[in-house]
Amino acid sequence: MAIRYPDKAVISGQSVIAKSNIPFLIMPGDGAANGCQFTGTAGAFTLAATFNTGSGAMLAGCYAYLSASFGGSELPAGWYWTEFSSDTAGIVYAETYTSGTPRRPATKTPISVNLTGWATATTNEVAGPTGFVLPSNALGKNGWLEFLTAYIGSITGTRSYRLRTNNVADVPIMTVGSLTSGPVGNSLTLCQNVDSHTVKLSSRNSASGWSGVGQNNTTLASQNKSFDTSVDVPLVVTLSNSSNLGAACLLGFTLKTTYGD
Amino acid sequence: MARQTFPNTVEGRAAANAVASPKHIIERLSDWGVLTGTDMPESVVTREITTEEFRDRFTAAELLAVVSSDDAAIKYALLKLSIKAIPMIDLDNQEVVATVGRLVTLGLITAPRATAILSS
Repeated sequence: MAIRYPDKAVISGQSVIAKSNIPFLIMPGDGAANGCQFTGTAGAFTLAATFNTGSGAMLAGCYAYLSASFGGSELPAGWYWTEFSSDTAGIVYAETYTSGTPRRPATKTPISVNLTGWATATTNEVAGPTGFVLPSNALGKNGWLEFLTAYIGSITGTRSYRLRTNNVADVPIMTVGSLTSGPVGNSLTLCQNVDSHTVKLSSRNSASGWSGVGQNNTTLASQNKSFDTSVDVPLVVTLSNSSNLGAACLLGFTLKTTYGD
Repeated sequence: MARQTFPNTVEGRAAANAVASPKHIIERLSDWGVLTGTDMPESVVTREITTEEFRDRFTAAELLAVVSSDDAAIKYALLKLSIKAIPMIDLDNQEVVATVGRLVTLGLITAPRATAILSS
């Protein structure tokens, strides 16, 4: 069931529409000699090298994306509950995230088979936290949408974190880019209604970085939006990395609305 | 078609990957979406690096030769670099490419070094 924050009545002021405080990580790996390697005991793994010093402590509990048939198994692709014990070791469990506000699982079930081999991370865009709804008229005709993100990653490749409608073919609502030179940071991107439910202006939407409060650039980037907020808008947050060692990791996000008449 | 959807199965994923490039794939638990043509989002691949990273691509001897140069074009480029508002260098920017080429013309770096400096 989709999550509605709050119920669909018009709420003046600010409302939290969606949030996640559990990190989502695309587990890095080139399938050969770098990144994640499963060590042959259930879901235990090591990383050939840390993707960022100190990351292990931040990922003591997270959901890690692993592609289908990871570790020599027949397990499907998905977001698996994972606990890092250090920067370069941890355990993947059988519990997965599917939808709604991410939570710690109530149980930790060992993977039923002994995983082995190197993981190969996808460089496709991956749907992460999902099942949220921007309620109809939550913005009014002159409201604001705020997308606050926190992220880490490696200095290899570039990463993007996008807020999309459930129709992923639509132009993203917000795109936050994290460059090789800046894999660690926070971003606050904005979208405003221009006295209309369909005419919108947003922060720079750029996979090349420089989007959000405090980030200045000389060029515009995909800042006209037209999705209709007079109706419910199902939402999903996605992650991507250009390199399979990019380790895109969305530490958390909050999506807030400010209603405007 | 600019937008296609395939089931998240072995066969579906194979079909998605078989779509001719360039393409952009979005993986969901239920299905894979493949965007092509004008529906593709902005590429995540960028050849922008920080000015510090750009500086570090030169050897100490090359840097010394550059700052010691009396060439007007090089002086101009160094001045612009030193007061750049956004500390990023686009390796595909024509002015950057031309300036690095100027260094080769002046004999301050070699052509293979210019290629290496402007590489990804």
